[in-house]
Amino acid sequence: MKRPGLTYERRKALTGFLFTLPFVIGAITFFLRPFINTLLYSFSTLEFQENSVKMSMAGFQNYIDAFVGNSEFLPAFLNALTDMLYEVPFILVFSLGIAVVLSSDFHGRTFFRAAFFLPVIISSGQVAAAVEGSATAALSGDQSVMMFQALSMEPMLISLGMSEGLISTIMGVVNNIFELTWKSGVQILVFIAGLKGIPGYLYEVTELEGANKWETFWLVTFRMISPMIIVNVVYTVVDSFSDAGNPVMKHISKLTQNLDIELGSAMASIYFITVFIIVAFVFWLLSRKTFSYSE
Amino acid sequence: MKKRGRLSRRRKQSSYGFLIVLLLLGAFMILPFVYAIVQSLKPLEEIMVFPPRFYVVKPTLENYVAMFRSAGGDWIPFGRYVVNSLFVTLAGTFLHVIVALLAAFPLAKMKFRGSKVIFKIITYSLLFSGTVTAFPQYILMANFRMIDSYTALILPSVATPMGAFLLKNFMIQIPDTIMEAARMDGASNYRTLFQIVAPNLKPAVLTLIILVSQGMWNGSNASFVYTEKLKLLPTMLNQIVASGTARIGVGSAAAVFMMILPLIVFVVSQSKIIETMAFSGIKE
Repeated sequence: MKRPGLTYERRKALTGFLFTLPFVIGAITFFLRPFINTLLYSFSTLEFQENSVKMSMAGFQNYIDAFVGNSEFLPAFLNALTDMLYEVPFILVFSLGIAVVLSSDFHGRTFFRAAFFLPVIISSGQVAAAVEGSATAALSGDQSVMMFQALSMEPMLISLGMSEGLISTIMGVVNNIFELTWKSGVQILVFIAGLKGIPGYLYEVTELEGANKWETFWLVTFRMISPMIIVNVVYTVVDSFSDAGNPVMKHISKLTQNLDIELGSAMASIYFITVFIIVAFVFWLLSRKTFSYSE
Repeated sequence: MKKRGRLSRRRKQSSYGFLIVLLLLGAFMILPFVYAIVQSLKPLEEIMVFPPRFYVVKPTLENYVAMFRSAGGDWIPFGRYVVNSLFVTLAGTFLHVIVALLAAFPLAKMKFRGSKVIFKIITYSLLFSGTVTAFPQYILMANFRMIDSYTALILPSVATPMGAFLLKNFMIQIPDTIMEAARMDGASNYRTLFQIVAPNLKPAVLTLIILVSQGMWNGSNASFVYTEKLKLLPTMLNQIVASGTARIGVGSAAAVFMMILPLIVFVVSQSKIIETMAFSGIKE
């Protein structure tokens, strides 16, 4: 890397650029370009010909169709927004709490960590369909995408021999908490990894200074974990929005499958831009308050 | 461990109450998994019993045998799907971690012109869900002539922004001083990254490996591949599930089978996540 004639600053910039290059090329090719195309489609009318797709301008027509011509989109969209509003704080607090407990030394911690990660393994794609299919098919054949919502948990509880009244009570309480708990697997892991990165001497210092546990949590744990809080807020927002079981997503993929690409693209764009604004806002709010060695 | 014995004992006591809650929640997490195992061990006549039972009277391995013998695709042996999935998962995870480490390092530790823009690209690419861009992605793959090859299955996952995003945020936690020390001793950037920074990021890297490998193992990207012998396990599992009630047992067996690898990866990496920084002597 030693090149005469390059200042230290420029050399640093060059290395930095080279290191990030493989990733940037990938992100632009596989994510940015498809998204730009989605935007383009949302302003066009597509005609499918034998070997190609013909695009012609349609202005805002698809957007008007999304809001006015389609009765499903707007309610689903608002629904997804409000869901996110209570889901994100709950998931964050819950997963931080669980992570603090799971990252301390006790027997069987790996077992418990695995238990809390199981939902991530199961709820992804085909495995969920298979497990859930086996749970629901016997009862009604009604297959919801997210497994272990009330619907798919019921046959399991029935099989455990509970009475119907008891089940419906349990379901009412458990359903919400349970669903959110299921969505916390990744966040718990990220927090655990973050907690492992907190230098032990900080705890020694606070103990010597006579801080109690509550103070230690806020002064050391919470501060040091703050970069991970940003990670998890962004992850949770994105996960909640792009969840395949989310009504907007279901609607969009249905449209795409019917090759109603333009309308689907318009909805996807509205949806994306909303999330974009939310994430940008979260960043603006949180990034000035997080801990970093570099500053 | 000795040094912090007293401290961890104090923490231990406080968490007993929490442990009960933990046990309850943990039980709920495990139930579906147990249920899948039970279902996979049921003979056909027990699967058809209504209401479904949470236990199995006459456990049998016939579902697993059926899964191995004719796995949906009829003439393609089951092992082929397994090898395909293993290969794609391994290659994808390895490349993803390397690319993410490379990208995260300068973003976290060298403030250079443009680094902020690049990090913004990473963050906002997180939002592009596969569902939304499915159609343009297909067109893209077709243009690159990648359809029906492993490349179409591996490359997009390598470019997934999750890794770079996660690692960058973890790298911030590492003090600049150890890198300065490395540079003083004449280490190149590559050496600093792979021999100084990466080992200290072990919990984060292992977590990333868990996340990426399980995503790749479970993702089918079915629309990118149409040759039967290139297809992955989830596609096969899908075919079984689609074939209805009669194959529920086989479907459960395949689901259990598919959960084995992510679980192994998880347990192995989690048991390797030791308290890196607390014991490796990083002190600011």
